[in-house]
Amino acid sequence: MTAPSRRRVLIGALALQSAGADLLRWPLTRAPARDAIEHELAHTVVTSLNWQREGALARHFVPSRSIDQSIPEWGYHDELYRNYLAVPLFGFILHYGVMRAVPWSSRSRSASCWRRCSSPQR
Amino acid sequence: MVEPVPLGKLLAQVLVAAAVIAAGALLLPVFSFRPTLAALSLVIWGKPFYVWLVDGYFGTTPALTFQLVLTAWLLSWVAARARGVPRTDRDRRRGVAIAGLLSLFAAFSEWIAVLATPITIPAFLVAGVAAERRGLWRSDALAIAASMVAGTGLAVAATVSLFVSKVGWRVYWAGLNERVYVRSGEATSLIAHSGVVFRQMQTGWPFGLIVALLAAFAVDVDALVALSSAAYRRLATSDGLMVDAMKRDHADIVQAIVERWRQVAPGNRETVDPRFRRATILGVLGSQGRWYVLVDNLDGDALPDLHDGINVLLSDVQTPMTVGYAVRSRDGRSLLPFSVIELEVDPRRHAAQLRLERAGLQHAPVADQSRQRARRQGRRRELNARSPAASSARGAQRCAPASADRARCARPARRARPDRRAPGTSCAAGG
Repeated sequence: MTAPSRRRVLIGALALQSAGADLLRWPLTRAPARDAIEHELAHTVVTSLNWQREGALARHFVPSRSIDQSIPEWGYHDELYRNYLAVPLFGFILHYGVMRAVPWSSRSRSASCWRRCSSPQR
Repeated sequence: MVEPVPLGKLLAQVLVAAAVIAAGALLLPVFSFRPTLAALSLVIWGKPFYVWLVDGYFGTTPALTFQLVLTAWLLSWVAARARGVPRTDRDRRRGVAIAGLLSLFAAFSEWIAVLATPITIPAFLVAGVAAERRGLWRSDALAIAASMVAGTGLAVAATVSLFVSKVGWRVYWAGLNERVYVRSGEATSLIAHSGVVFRQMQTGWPFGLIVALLAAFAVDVDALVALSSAAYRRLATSDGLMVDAMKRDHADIVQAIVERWRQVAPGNRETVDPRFRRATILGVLGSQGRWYVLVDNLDGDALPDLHDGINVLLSDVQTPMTVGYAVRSRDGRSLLPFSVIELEVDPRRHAAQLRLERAGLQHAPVADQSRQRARRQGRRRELNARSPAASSARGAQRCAPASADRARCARPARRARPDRRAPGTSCAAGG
């Protein structure tokens, strides 16, 4: 097997495994946040929604975890929620950017839909 | 309509997949096909990426994926320089920029990257200074190290600036200190914190996953050695309860690993030592310029204790092991089902010169001194063949002739396959 074909086979095998893993964990991906680990992602979502409403630049890209209690995901907060002031920001920016970029994401839905569609599962 | 939470999970999965594929393309020329595939399969299916990073810790996901690509890129750079692959000035500038950008994005995602990158930077600084002195590499290593420092520093500065401009320095500094306190608790020792991380890592790669990969990929010596070593390290870093659980719940899997060694390196028996009885030493495998010896103690009603510590002599010269040898769990409460001895040796050496001794038994009892004198007179091989007890004076096992060839030292030197059920059968080596 030549070097280029080895590379193609390797990339194909890794892509196939990644797709298989994503498929196998699809029920986990679709499930609402339930435990402490998943609350971290929920907090990222809260920040994205807050930036969407108030403007990311206006917030200086600072996570809004401790201030946006009007969003249903507030129920995911834990004992560290007031101290979320010291983390680097790229993860939040990435999620916010994708939410804005994906036209069929739920960024434009109404507040009533929020309450209906994504109530906390604690 | 995609909800924001599943969107975040999907984004994390895309990041992991992209990073694994990019790392695969970069690592292929470094480690060859099968080791790269096996290692990155562990990343895909291991619990940290499969569950933890996708379902939560969202900030950590891009940090670790960028760090993975950065590490792969640096390794490919080192491999290319070692092979003398020609490159242009444009390649150099692009390489320096890639290192800086990856460091920046990683550090801008999570503090863990800020802690990880400085591990790499000194290595490149040292390599850069050494290369400069020898007139090699045209200071690429120094430029890359500087680029990583700049990228990481820029990320830290951007993070601090954004927070301080919004909430003020006092609030930010208090929040940072409080977070450090909450994360570290009362413990102030780096070792204590490292222990927590280390124990978490042990739960990250299920033992069954390692063996499934073994079954899937271990068709050549490189992959067999890589996966056996991974399984051994996983066992050796577990506590007694975990090792017992593995031996109980995965007995067939442990057996599968040993059986695979027997197929590839059946080995043979040359000498017998009662203190090694029931412990089987399978053949010597050569891979990537190193030798590997598998020791297992699967047979018998009770697992025999091989005792901690072993000396390895090559041509009667002590040879250091590149990975610590262990026969017990981390807390000493349980015996491991097998161990892998890893040696870095001169490829011109011959496996026939390899001798394994239990540590602390270099001095023979008085009653055996005559036998030792006989050995010094050149009769050692003969004595070993006639009387197993002769070698037991030193607690030694001699491995049979074997080739030091890189990948083909799996063929047994003799026809006889070790009868592992007979008491006292032990030492063997692939030819």
